[in-house]
Amino acid sequence: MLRAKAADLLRGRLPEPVKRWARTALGRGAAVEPRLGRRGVVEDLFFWIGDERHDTVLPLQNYFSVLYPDLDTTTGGTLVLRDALGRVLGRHEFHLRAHGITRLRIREVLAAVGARPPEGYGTLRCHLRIPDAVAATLDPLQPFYFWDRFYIGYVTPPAPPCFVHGVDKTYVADHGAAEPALFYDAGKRYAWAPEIPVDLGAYARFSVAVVNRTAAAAAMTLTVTDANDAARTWSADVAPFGAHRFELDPERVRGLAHEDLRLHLDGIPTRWGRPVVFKEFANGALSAMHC
Amino acid sequence: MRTSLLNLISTPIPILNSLGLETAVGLSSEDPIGGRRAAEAFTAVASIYGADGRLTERRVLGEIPPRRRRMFDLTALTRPLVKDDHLVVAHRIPSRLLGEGSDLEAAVELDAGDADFAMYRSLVQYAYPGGSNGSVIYETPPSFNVARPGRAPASTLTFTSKVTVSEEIETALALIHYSMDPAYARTARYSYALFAPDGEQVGGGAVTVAPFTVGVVRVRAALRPGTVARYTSADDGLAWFGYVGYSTDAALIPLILTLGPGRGTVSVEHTHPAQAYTLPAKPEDKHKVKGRALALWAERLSGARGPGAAS
Repeated sequence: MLRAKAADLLRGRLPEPVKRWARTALGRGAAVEPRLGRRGVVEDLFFWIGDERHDTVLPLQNYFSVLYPDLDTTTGGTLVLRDALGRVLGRHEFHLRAHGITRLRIREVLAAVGARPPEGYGTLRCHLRIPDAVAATLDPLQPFYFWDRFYIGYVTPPAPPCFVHGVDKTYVADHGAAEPALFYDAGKRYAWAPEIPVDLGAYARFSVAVVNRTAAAAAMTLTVTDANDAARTWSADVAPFGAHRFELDPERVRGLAHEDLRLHLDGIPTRWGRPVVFKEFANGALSAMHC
Repeated sequence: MRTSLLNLISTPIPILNSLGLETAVGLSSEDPIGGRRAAEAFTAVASIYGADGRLTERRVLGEIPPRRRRMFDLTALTRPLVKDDHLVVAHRIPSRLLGEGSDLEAAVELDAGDADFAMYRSLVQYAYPGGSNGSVIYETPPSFNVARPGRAPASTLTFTSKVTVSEEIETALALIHYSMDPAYARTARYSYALFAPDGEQVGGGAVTVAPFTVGVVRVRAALRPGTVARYTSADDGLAWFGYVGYSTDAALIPLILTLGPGRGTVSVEHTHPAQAYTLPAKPEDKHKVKGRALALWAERLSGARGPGAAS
């Protein structure tokens, strides 16, 4: 309320240069997050998988063209791949035309950077630069961020891909900055109870992938409980910016009634860092979903 | 706060008979983020709308005991009633709020904490008969298509890159037109365009979606002749496209389905609305960016009549 009153007073009485300074000060105070005080893009950390059976595909759309269809939104970006332990495997630059899409396949990028991580999965960050024409429309004194929540596809060729979207925030890439800052200062410990009813008999394989979006290791625990409330638990220390994949099958849950299982995760270091479940079927299809 | 029991937790679900898909819904009684209502049991209810958007029937599906999940077969429930594409809305109501002969449509007074079911979503699952399934979770957004006196109706700006087509694979969009207000009666015109990787517009069209119904866009039919062959990639045999769609009449929830009828495969995902891609200092600026973009897309796509356009 005080901020609003101050703004009203300033609006009527001050010269324009001073107003602009005041807008900046007040606007920064009103930012969604204190660290979002400039202009840039908020980005997530995604899970990738690339082994003999699976690949990951990024169909990257120039979303700036959707929000600014009248501008030249030609741009480019950088894909940064990490292994399951959060170690950088390599970088890949790409170009994106206005209204265009580009498709990156992770197995191709791994080959190009000469990486063959033994786990066959890891994490990735994809940075799409704000096009110059868009940046020029943003008031340099008014905080404004885009939140790139792009879709990532998983595929077991020749079956078609399935897709999930970004769910959380990991990086703050200020416009023009060489490296991003972290969105979260430190991890906490959150729980998540996925809504999916799990019948392991319906799948050839079933797995639960988790990502650590913070700079500290996170001990995450998956508990699987059956209709009789019998349970089994697995734990993993997930490295900073790393990932872990819990694989479930009837053998691993022996002793549980595997046709009516429910999942529970503990130790997720960020509030919305919920898992991705992968369902693989006898016909070769893969289905992934956040839950 | 005063609210309808049916609107506490709900998910509108397209029943896509024209695509030959079977539909199920998975419902949980557990708080996904933990901590709220550990011992709550829910009653699951389905509102079945006809292809014309009229409420055909409302049925109690059953109870979900505390800390449990249940799947319900919506195809078995609805196929005897509606043959075409239509909507079913899955509702969850805390069983303790229901008495003998409760009026489900009546508004009840609840304190704010008791009415907070944020992040309670439904798992919506599609499959070809005998095939593998694909699933997605979502819920009805707050105050969805509820009239706001003195303000313009809600609007839609959709975009997605998860659009692939080949000889064996098709992408379809299901446009859900629902409202939390049972008296809602607005019809939405929705226009869309498809873009090749190089940014060239290669298709488009428009559909009209009546309230409480679902509109279906089949991407292959909306592309110009020869486009799939021209853009098919040698490495995966797929042509990939960008998609943009808008309506200034209503908010629609688009589901994107990747269909492989030959192999019996389905995957499905929703999209985020365009305004969810911005984090301005002032929340109202979200709608400035979206509003400006909507006006530009309306100008650009007005009269869009690509192959497969329907109205």
